[in-house]
Amino acid sequence: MSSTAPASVIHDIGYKPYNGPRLGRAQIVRALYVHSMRSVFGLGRGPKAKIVPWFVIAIMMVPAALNVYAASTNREPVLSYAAMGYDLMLFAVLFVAIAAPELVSRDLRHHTLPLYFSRPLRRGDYPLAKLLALFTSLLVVELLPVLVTFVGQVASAKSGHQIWLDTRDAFPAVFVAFFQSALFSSVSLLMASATGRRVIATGAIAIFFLVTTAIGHVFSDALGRTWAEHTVSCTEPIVGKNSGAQNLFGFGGGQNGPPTGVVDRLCAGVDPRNDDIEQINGQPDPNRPGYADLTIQYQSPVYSTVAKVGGMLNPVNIVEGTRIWLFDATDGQIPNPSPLGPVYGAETIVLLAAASGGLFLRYRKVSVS
Amino acid sequence: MTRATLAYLPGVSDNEQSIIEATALTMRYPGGVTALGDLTLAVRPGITGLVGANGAGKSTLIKILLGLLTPTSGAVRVLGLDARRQGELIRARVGYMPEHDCLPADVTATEFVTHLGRMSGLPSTAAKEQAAEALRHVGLHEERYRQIGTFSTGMKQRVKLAQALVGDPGLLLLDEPTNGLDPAGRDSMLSLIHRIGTEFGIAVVVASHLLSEIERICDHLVAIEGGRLLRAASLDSMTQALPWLAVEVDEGLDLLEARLTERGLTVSPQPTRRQLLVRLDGDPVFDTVRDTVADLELPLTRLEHRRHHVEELFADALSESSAQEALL
Repeated sequence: MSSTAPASVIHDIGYKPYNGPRLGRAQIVRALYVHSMRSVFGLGRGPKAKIVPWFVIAIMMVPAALNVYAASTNREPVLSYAAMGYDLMLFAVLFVAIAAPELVSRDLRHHTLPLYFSRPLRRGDYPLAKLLALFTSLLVVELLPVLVTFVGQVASAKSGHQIWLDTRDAFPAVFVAFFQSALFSSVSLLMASATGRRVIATGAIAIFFLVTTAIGHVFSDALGRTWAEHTVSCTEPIVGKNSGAQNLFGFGGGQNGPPTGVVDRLCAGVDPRNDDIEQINGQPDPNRPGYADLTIQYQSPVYSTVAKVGGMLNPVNIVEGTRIWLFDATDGQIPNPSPLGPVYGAETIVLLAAASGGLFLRYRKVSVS
Repeated sequence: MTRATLAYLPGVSDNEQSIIEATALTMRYPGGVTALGDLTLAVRPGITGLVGANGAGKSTLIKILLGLLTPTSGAVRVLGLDARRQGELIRARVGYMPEHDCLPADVTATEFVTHLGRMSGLPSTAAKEQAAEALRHVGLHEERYRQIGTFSTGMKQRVKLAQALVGDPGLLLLDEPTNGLDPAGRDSMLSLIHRIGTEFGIAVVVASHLLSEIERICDHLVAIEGGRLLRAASLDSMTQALPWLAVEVDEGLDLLEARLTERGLTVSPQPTRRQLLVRLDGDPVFDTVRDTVADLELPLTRLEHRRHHVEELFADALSESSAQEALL
């Protein structure tokens, strides 16, 4: 063989034993975690591997950039914090549908796993590193628009109190991003670890998320809805960032109706986009200068039990329902699950545990040689 | 060749120490299949051939040595470490080359070996250096930035060897390293392994079902069949003991045998071939045989210095057990 001759020449340089440091198992897991995260974003891989993750990041930045622009020109955000996770869900699905097979299907396809398990790693370390890598990557991608919007809001905020209100608004978005990332990454990795064929894994993940979303959507209006009347009163500081005091009491007559952000900030939890606001009355509080007494009358929809149960088929809806339940939100993207809220919450935890548990079980059984 | 780096490993202080020590090792799978039965063996530094047919228990033994399977009973130590409890430490110091294909096609050889170096516990920079070294040693220095998918079978086998070699292991476990190679590729792979075992001073265990292939690079041979040890021996002692002198005479075989035995030689008659095998204990044997034949005035037709093929030594044991297997 032609390679024999040069090999013997090269050999003359000699063999040098390695006497440097050797890292422990924990650091090896960390190295695998970092390596996996890099491969999710296509770093260190060819240009093709970068297309989808960076496309998703770019798409996620569009509403965030518009939000910053809106904040700087005193307009309402294009996409509210609460709606971000739900409305950008499609891109999160696209992200994991490509990333999960990249992380686990490749090693199955090329039978690389014996090379990992003949090294210090234990069976659970491999799925742990992969799961954490996909979870963190997706979390970063989902938090990006939240963070950019927040920075934009803070930069154009006129008072410390407004920053606090904005922080309070952003928190549910962080919650949704966290649980959506956890559920998406564990479910998609479990599905991808079932096959070594990336195309099939990608298709299965996309179909699972999209079909269950569609089903949830069909159910959300099932059996129609009725309306409940509500009246909310509150005393809130006059801090309309996009209005100033003169706009605060001007609403109700404008052609666009009440600016939603103002109402959100004045009576937290009331969202006129979902709820029909009938009337808003307000006047400066006589006892507290700088504060206003507000009374808001609105209607909220009451959904059928079928609609509430229908949302439980889909990871996105489960997280959204949990958010509505935990934060008592009225700006939900799906029917308010009340009184099934705790069921949504429990399902989030159970699905998360089942998907990650299944993933670890999968790698306990994988063959070594 | 002894290597200083081995010295820091507990229990491995010098050349005489066993790299692998298995005592009464038994492995029964839950289904009731006995993969290894009461296997006791010791592997010393150097190159050891692990020979056995497919299904003889080679892979099971390798998994136990790597601490990936817990034996049903028995003790096993690798590099002085207990494989039952210290698998992690063993795996950090043992390079394993699997039998089957295990390489991704769409990464370069350097990236792949570097990553696996990190998985062996090398820090980032060291992993890059050691990967370059390992690829150089297997003769892929020029091709290291090429994608593995573009490699020939021989080159892929070398990448598999390089990933086992990265990070200077104390022991290499090679499972059928010549699988799928043409004769030339086989020769160069074997000489590569030989160099690793002798000049690099790394202990090597080569599992193979082809004894004839690995015998020429091994210092020791271990044959297993049906999970049991058939034979373990140092190839040196075998080849030392092997040389016999075949004496073929047309007549007077019995007479010659009696006379040679009288003179204190070890003689093994082979009447079917009209031959006597005389063990070559030293140079004077030649003279004694010559003189005896001359004294007896026997018609000498052949005087042959015979060297047993190692395979012949194993052949009896192997055929015996496969005959048993056939009966089952």
